[in-house]
Amino acid sequence: MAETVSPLSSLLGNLRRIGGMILRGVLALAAITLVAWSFWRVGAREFSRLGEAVATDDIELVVMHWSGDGGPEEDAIVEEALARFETEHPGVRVRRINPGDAGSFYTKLQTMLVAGEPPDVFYVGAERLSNFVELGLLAPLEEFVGAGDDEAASSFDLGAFFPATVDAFRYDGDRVGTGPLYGIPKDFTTVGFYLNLDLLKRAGVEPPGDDWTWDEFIEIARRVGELPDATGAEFVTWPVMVRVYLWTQGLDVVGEDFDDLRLDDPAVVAALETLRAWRHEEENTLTSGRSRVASGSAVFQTGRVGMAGPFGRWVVPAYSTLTPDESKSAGEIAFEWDFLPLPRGSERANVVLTVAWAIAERCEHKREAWELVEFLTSAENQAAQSRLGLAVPTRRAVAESDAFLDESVPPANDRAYLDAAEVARVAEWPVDPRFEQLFGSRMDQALRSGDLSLADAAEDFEANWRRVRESPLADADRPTMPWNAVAIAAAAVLAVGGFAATWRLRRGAPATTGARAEERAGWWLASPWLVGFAVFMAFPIAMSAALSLTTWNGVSTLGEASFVGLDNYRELLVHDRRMHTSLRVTAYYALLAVPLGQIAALAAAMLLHAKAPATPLFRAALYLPSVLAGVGTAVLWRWVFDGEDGLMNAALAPLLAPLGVEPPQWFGADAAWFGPPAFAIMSLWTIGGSMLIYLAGLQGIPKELVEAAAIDGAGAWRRFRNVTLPMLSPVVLFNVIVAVIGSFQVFTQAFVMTGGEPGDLTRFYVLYLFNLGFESYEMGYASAMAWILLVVVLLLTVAVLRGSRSLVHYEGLKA
Amino acid sequence: MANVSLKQVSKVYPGGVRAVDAVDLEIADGEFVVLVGPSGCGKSTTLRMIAGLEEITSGTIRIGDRVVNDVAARDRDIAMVFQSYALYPHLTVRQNLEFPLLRRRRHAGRLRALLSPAYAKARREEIAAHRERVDAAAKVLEIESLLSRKPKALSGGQRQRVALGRALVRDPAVFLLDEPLSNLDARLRLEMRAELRMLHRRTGGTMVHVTHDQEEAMTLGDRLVVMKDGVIRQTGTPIEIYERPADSFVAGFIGTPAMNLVEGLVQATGGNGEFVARRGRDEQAVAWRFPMSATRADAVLAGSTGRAPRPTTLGLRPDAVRVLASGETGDGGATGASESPASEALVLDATLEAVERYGDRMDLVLDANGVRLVSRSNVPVEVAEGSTVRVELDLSKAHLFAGDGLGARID
Repeated sequence: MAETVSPLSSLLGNLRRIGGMILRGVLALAAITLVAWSFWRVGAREFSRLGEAVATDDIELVVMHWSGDGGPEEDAIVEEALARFETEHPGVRVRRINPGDAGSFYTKLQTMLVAGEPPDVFYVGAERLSNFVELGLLAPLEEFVGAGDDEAASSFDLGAFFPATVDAFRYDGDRVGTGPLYGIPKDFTTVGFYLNLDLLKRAGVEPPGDDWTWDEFIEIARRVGELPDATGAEFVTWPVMVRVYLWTQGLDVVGEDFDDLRLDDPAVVAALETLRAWRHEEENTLTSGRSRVASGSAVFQTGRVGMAGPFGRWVVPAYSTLTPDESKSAGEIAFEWDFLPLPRGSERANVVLTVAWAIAERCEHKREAWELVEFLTSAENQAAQSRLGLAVPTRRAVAESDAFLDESVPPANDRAYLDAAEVARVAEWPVDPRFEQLFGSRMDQALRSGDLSLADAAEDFEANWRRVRESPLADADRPTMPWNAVAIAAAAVLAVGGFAATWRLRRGAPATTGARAEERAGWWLASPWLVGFAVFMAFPIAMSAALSLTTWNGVSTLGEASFVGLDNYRELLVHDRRMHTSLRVTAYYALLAVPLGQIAALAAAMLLHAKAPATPLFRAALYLPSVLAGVGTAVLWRWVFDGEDGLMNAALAPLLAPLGVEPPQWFGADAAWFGPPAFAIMSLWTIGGSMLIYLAGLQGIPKELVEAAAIDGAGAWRRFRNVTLPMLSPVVLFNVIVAVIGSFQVFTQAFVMTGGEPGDLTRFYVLYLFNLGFESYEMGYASAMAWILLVVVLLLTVAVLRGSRSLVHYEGLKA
Repeated sequence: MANVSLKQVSKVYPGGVRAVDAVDLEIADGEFVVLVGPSGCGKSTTLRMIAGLEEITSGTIRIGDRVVNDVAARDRDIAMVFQSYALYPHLTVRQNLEFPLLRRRRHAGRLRALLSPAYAKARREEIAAHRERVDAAAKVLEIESLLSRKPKALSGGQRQRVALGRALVRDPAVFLLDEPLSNLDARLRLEMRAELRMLHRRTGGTMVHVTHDQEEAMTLGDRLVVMKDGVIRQTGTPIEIYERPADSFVAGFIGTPAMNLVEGLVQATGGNGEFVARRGRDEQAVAWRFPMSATRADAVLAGSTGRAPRPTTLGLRPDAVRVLASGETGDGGATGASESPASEALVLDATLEAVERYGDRMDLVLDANGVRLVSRSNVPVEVAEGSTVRVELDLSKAHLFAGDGLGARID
């Protein structure tokens, strides 16, 4: 039929076209306005800050701190102090950043350092001092404190501080404790044990005095352990606590320097063996160490542990709520408790754990920054901080005032923290954080979970540490990365690639103008994604490839990265035992999680596909875990797999009892075999995504095919095996590949639930990568690790694709 | 081979939709029965209930001597051909044909064959026997050359043959065919119809075939079952149904072009009666009338109280409507409605609305004073569309149906 265009309809058509143009115009304008507005907002904020400062000649100082255990109260105290400082110092304005807890603080700090814009004044924990100084991040404070003739500095008296706390921030380029000063300690703590006085009384034990010994300690633990339903003591085996314990015996893990390892010293071995035996050869004397949930400071709060430690002052705010008073209801846990310093061995010893205010080397207003540090560490501010009860003021006068020694709040024995300071030292660690990590992980495995002998732990630690020291990567005399050459090479590759791509596109370009316009429109529509991909994906990927050829700490600027060629890869593939372990752990997990997950997902999808009542409800219920926050669910699952009180073992115990088998200690002594499977079981919880894809696949199978098979005499299994499964095979392949890739990227669960422990038995590949990159500051090494992972996953994917060729039937797919 | 018997079989879906309502049907051993009706009439549901793909709500289904109400589809010994063919896309044609035989394998165990030579021999023989059966079926359907292909590489007609082959290969008690021809183009459909008849003759199997195409039904079935709204309206041989449709629905559904159904009423006029054709929907407007014999009128009016005029539908097959050549007077003789009571023919003026030519015959769509009539002519009629023609209605071939809801036949 011939199309007749009436004047009216052509008018309407034009109107519609014009309307469409107007609408598109309005939308485009709105989008541009939105972008422009957001740029303007951000820009204006930055400029106004700059402008104000310039206009008023004001100096701006950026202060960064954390308020982890102190919470909003600590936040408010700092806020208030800074406000007072601003009033007292006209011309200086302070911008405060509080990223939250210490972990977020260091992440943020690292980002700011790399960006070349560190805060001017910030917290530094003593344990990070040597590292930060080595990286050239901290300004020495000698010129402000030391020079006695300086009028301003003379008012600042370091003698007013506990000497051990000040020494913690001296570093001479080799050892902590001597040399220039890099921070003014804001507060500190010594460590000891917290005692449940009610339990001790029930056990008929008199609380000992401050000068107690390890013999007394273990005797009390044994006595309390004899009480029904109670354990003697919780003894944490953190690296620093293991060292302090050795100090009290007049020993240490190292001699003169960190190349002089003393773990094979018979005295050290004997001391550690005593500690191990207390836990593993006696019932109920020390907490079993099997469970990670019920360990640390929280164990004390159950009221079923006689003593807990060694902990510092930081647990006091949490324990304060345990003290009985009228406001407590009957069911609540409440008991009398107090603090005792670390028991004495052959000598008294203790450790100073402290945080200081430090000034960035890059800070442009060091004089003003110093004034701020001085102000923040003044007696007045320390008194205010001390209200939190979290830590001990570093000024002796404040610490010995009522601001700290307040009798009305527990613990009664506040003075013990101060007395211990007299015998306390700084726990120094090598600049390379891997020493402490390795030592901690091996001691944890040997002393707490007990699945590694002390000798093996020592041997393994030494071998790993020596490799770190002796690998070619440790060689400092490396050329810096030739970034210019890299940039030129990258530009050349881009130019050639771009030219080739354009040429190919031109060759296949559509002939008609209409088609060209359509193609252009396509590129425009895809452009936001393309730009996003280039900036946020392609560039970082290329950068990580370049970085994998360097050693770079991730904190200094890129210019300081030194070029090491393929040494990172060689080190990883040939020498790094921990990396091999992590790969084995991950592969073990993948081997379990992928098949189990796919079978479960397919089974669930088939149940949902069969018409059952309340299908939408079950569908939602099965998918729900996939949308929950990973960290939260990981915490819950940690409890499920808890060795002693976990749901999983509570369910398994009656089933295994007739066989005479005890349920496994998933993340304890049996972690080598049962740790990764626990994660695999947990992964079954998040099959929702695969399940939905299977469900869609099942719904795409023509019903008649299954009916035809039924009529052709096939039973349920043969219908599944010969019709459903082949028809579904492309979907299965897709899901398997996605699952394989996902299984090699496990991170959150392991990070939250076990942190890789015990030892490295649940240290998944990506977790180890994270440890190296963000905790050991080995960003180049970690980048190489990421590329090895990419190759491994790529090879596996290719293997799956190749291996499944004869099993996957694409004929069933609709064209 | 077996007979199939349905007694008071109903299917009610959740929500109360009654798809099949108390169907009684006896299908003899070796019979070719076609269930026919418009879409949604319940014919497919009936077939699927026989197959066991659909549970029955009430009633009894027997195949042979066995009540199969609670027997799973796989155990009913039936074969079914689906409209979409339902070939297994990942299997070759040979594997498709072998699929129904797999269940009959008594020596399937590969492992056992390794251990026992006797078993292995039996297994080999069995496989060979099944191969022969597949080859035989493929030969009958002329698809031997396609055996190693996959369904994707086949044309519609070839797929249809494979689907038939899969049913044929295992010699079932009953063949069920669910609109097997409707995905084929017209020419292929004609070919396959003949082929189906041939297959039926060769196998002598009991076949139940479902279609919405009445022509297919007429040409294929030994017996037709016409269904509407879940109810069987008429069962009979194609000729019986064509010549004596049980009600106005069957009359209108069976036959191409469809029977002319004229709404009107029958009333007594003196000693005789007459049929008054209604014009459109208007009850009062009279299009035309024609006299009818006293016996016929009596038969109609017997159904109404006090011989009051009774709504009636007049049915005339298109071949009972004849367009007269110019000058021809026809048997009715007179013009308009003025004809003798004895005559069994009526001549009218009508406008020729449209002509459909088939070469050997033509269908003429007419408007006889507001009543639409279709005429079939085997001789060429050279009249321009839009002109007026004279039409003769052969009332000896007229069917009368009650003008109420069901439209039952009046003899």
